Amino acid sequence: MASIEVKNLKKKFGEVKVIEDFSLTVKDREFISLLGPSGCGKSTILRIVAGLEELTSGNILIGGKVVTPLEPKDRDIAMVFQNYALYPHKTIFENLAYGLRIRKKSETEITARVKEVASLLQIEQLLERRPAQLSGGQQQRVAMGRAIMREPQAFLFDEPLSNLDAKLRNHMRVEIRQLQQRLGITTLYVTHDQVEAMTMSDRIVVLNQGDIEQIGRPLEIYEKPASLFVANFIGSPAMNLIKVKTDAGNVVLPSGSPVAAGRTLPSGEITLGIRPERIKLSGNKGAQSLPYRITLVEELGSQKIVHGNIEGTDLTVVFPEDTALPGEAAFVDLPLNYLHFFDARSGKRL
Amino acid sequence: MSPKSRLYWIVCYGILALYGAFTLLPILYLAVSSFKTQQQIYDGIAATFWFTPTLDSYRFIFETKPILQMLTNTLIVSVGSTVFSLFFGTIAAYGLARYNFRGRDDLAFYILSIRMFPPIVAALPIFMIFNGLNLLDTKTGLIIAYTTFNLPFVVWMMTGFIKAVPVQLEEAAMVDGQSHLGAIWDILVPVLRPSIFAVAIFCIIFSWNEFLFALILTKSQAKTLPVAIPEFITWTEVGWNYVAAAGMVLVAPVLVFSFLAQRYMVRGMSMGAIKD
Repeated sequence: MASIEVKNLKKKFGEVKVIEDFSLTVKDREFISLLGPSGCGKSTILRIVAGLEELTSGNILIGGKVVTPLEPKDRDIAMVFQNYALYPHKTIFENLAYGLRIRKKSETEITARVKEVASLLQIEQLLERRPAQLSGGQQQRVAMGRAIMREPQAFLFDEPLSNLDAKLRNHMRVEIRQLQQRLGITTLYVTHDQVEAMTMSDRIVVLNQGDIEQIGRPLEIYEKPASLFVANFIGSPAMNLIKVKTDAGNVVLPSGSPVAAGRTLPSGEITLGIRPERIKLSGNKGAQSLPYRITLVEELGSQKIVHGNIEGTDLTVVFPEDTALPGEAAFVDLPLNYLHFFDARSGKRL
Repeated sequence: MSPKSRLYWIVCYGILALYGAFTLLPILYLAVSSFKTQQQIYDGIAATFWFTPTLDSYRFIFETKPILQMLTNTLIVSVGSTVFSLFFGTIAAYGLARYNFRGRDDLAFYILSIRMFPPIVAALPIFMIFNGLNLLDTKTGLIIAYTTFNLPFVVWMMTGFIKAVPVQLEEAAMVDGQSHLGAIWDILVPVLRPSIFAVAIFCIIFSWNEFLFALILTKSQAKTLPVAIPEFITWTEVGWNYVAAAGMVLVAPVLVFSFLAQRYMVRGMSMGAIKD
C-alpha cells in the first residue's frame, strides 16, 4: 500500500479552467472522500490520478513515485466505476482474472486468487455467470473484487454506489468500509452523497467549482464548517442560514429581535447559521426564547422536521418523534455554542 | 381471443402476406423461369407454374461464359472491400465516437454526405484516375471503388454502435493493466462483434449486387457476375431464361447467407437501442 499525493494540479478543458490549484495527500491506508456537487471537478481529479485524463500542470505521486507521465496500466492502481464497467462478454471468473492474465500469471495462481477474492466477497456461486445475469449489488461486488484482485497500491472509487437503491446503498457502504479497513488499502473516493462521505471517510475534501472549500474529519466538517458553502452542503436538513446585522455583542434578526452572539463580531451584515437539530423547540418561554410559528410538520418516523418562522424569518427544526409538539405558543432557543457566523461577502467562517 | 383482436391479427397477417408476396414473387418467378426453355417463357400466364423443368439454361450459361470465374471475382471483390471498409471505417468511427474535437459533427456529416450523391457522378473521375493508375479491369481497382462507397456507411453505423458502448469498459481494462489499443482489441471489439457482423453483411450485399462501377471499371479479367447477366440480351435474341439462370446463380448465395445471418443482422441493428 502507498500514499497518493496530488501537487498543484491544474486542469483546463480548452479555455475553461476546471481545477485551479489542487493539492492533497492521501496517507497510507487512509480513506479520503472528495465530496461536492455535480460539475465541481471531483471525478476529473480522480480520473487524472488514475491516468485516464491528462492534467494541464502539476504532479501526481503514488507511493512516493512520480506517475504523472505514466499510462493507467503502469500506475498500479485499481478503480471502481459508477456503472461498474464489467466486461459484458466475459464470465465473472474472467472479469476477475483479466488483470492477472494481462500480467501473464500462471493458471494455478489465477484460479487460486479468483477463489480467494470470490470467497472474501461471497460471490463464489456467481463465477460462471455473465454480468448481465447479476443484480446491481452483485455487480458492485464483482467490480470490488476486480479491483482487489491485483492487490494494488491504491483504490479509486468514482461514485460506486449511486446506481443502487437506498437500502442496498446503505449495506454496500458498510461493506466497502469494512473491506477497506481489513485490507488497509489507501482509498480516494468520489461522491456527491454527504452521508457516504460522512460515514465512510477518515477525512473529507469538500470541493466547490474545482477549489477545496475544506479538508477535515467528518465531524470536524459538520461541526465547524469553514464556509457558507460547506455549511449549506453538509447536513440534512440543511443548516438554517439567516442574514443578520451585528450590534454590540448581539446579532439582530431581520425582524429586529436581538440574539446573543456570545462573542465579538465585525460590524455590518453577516450570516448566522444553526443546524436544525441544535435548536430547542418547546412550549416554555425562556429568557432568550423567540416566538416560533409552525407552518408544516414532516413525520419521518424517527424524527419530525418542523418548518416555521420567527417573526417572518424561516427556520427549520428537527424535533424528536416521541415528544409532543407545542401548540400555538411555541418558542425556540438558539444555543450560543451551536451558532455559526460567516462573512456575508466572502462566505468564510468568522 | 376477442373478435376485435382476431380481426386485428387477420389484418396484420394479411398485410404481411401481401408484403411477402410483393418481395418474394419476383424471386420465385426468376427461379421458375430459370428452369424453362426460351419457348416456355412466352407460353403465357397459364403455363407459368405448369411446365416440364429443364437445366438447359444453366448448362448454356456455364458453357458460354466463365460464370465461375466471375462469381469468384464477385466474391473476392465483395469480401475484400468489406474487410477494408470495416477496418478503416471502424477506426474512423472510433475517433468520431470517442474524441471530442472541433468540427467533429461536421466531419461526420461530410463523411455521410459522400454516400448521398449519385455514384454516376463519381464514375467518370474514378475511371480517369484508375486509367492513369492502371487499375482498370483489376479486382484491386474494384475493391478500392467499393470501399469508397462502403466506408461512409461503415463509419456512420459504427460511430453509433461505439457510442452505445460505455467508454468505462476500455478505461477499466486500461486500469487493469492493458494498453489503449489492447483495451480496444480485447474489450471493445468483442462487445461490438454482432454490430460489426451486421454492418459486414450490408457491405457484402452492396458490393455483391453492384452494377454501375463493375460495368465501367471492368472488361474481362475482373468482371463480376452482375455485369455478365445483361449480356444474354443481344441484338438477335432476348434470352430471359439465361438471364434468369444467371440471376439465380448470383442471388442464391446471398439468399442463403442472409437467411443464416438474419439473427445477427437483427441483433446488430437493434444494438444500443435499449439502455441497459
